[in-house]
Amino acid sequence: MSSSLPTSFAADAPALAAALCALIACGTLGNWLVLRKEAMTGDAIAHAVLPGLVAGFLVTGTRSVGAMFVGAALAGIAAILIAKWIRTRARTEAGAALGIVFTAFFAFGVALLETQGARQVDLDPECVLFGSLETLFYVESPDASWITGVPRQLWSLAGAAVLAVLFSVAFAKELTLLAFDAPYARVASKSPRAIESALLAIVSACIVASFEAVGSVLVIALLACPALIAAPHARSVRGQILLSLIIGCAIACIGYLLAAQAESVFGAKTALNSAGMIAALLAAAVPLSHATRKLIIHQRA
Amino acid sequence: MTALPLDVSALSAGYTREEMIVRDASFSLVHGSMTALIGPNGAGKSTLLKGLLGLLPACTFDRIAFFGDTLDAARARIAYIPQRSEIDWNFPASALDVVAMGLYRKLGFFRRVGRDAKAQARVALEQVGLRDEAMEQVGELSGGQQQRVLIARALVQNAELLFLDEPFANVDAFTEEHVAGILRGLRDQGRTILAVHHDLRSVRKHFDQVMLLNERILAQGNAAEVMTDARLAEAYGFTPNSAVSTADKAVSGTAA
Repeated sequence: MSSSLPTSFAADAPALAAALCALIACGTLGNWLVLRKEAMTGDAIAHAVLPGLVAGFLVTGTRSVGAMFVGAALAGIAAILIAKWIRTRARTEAGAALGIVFTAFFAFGVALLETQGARQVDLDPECVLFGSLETLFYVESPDASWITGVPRQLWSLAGAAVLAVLFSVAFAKELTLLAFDAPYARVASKSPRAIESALLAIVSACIVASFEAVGSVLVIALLACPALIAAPHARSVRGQILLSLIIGCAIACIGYLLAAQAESVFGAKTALNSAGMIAALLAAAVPLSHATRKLIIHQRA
Repeated sequence: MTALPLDVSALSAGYTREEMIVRDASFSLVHGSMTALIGPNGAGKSTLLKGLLGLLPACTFDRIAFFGDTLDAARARIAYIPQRSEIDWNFPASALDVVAMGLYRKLGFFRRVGRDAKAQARVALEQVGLRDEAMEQVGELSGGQQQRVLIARALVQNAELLFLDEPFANVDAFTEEHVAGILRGLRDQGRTILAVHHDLRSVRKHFDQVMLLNERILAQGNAAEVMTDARLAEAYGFTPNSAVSTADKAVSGTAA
């Protein structure tokens, strides 16, 4: 990793914007998963899509969003079907079945990456785990409009963020009822199955869109942590989502700056990986948030 | 003549097709009746409710008619109130929020819960005696209050056929009386109620109709007809003499 990161705004802005878009996309949807007690599902999908991403890349030879997305979607669906099959056949709990499947898929993905991807310069395991926020620069070219300078990953991330927010706003009632009392929701209306499938599909889409820029470690953290940070303090679903996004964005900015300034802040020899730093801060904030909640209750009493 | 609220014939339900828990159940409910579904542990009481509402993976039947219609056509008129323990009460919502969920279907997609819906939810909360708790977080309510919130949600939905799974589980005697009173009030308005119930001693006190289940339906009818020693012995595998005779005394005592 380069020790002389560009510090000008034009250089940092795309990376920070990418991190924030990923946070809005995954963080918003993560709230629904956490409310549904399905945080594990996001985790599972984030792991399971890896072999699909690698295969998509190997087949087409490019990191085109389309090919990787098709591969990831196929892998994700396969993983969920296999987990379902294991759950009914072996009568294990849902979490255990998912656990078996996503570790297997992830391991297969890494193996594929190590053996096949190694020949390709473009795809390396480090990037899969920690993303490539540091490589997202704004490329200035005098003879083209400013739009061409925006890194391509940022476009798909912005699309994912818009999709996640629109979906959550449009179906807030239905998602809330399903999360709170699924049996009642399934009796009251025919649509739950479609909405649940749509949620899974959009979660998968956001995971794939975020993967390349921020890596699997941060994707998993983004799906679970902002929601878990906000949950102890929220009094409504809307409140929880808004709080999770505000705190999440603040932490993402702090994490990004800390990583970039690691030389002066921590005396590190090089700048630290910003995705990793954000993930670490998010994870650390979860128990902190629960502790403050306890403190508040204690003081009231 | 209007169609029965519920008419079921040859319903088998379970989690896999090889192992059905409820087998060949045929029964019907009449308008304005309040029926207790009783039977030993593992008899399939909850399974029966979930099966006929299409909530289970394995289910076969000759006919299930709600008000003479299919489930899809009758959904608006039906409310299912699951066991309180099946719900995560740590959910970020006020009592009012949860009651307003009963209006989601009527509101339709893309529309938010407005002032009008909230006013209706407040009326329903008042009907179950929770006017002052409207803005409380559901997690901070007592078990009995949570049960009443769920009933208020069915009220605001204006459901005519209510299925309740163990509405009196883990509530104190006073609350049980209160909730039973609310349910009787609903029945007197002409609504039909089917509730899973496990406490044999209070069956006759709360319900007019009883359905006895142990994988198959063993009897259905008036509480006095169904709750005979012979039938209970058949269902429970022993004669729950002490329990039921105590109940007899208690019932005659309160009636006198």
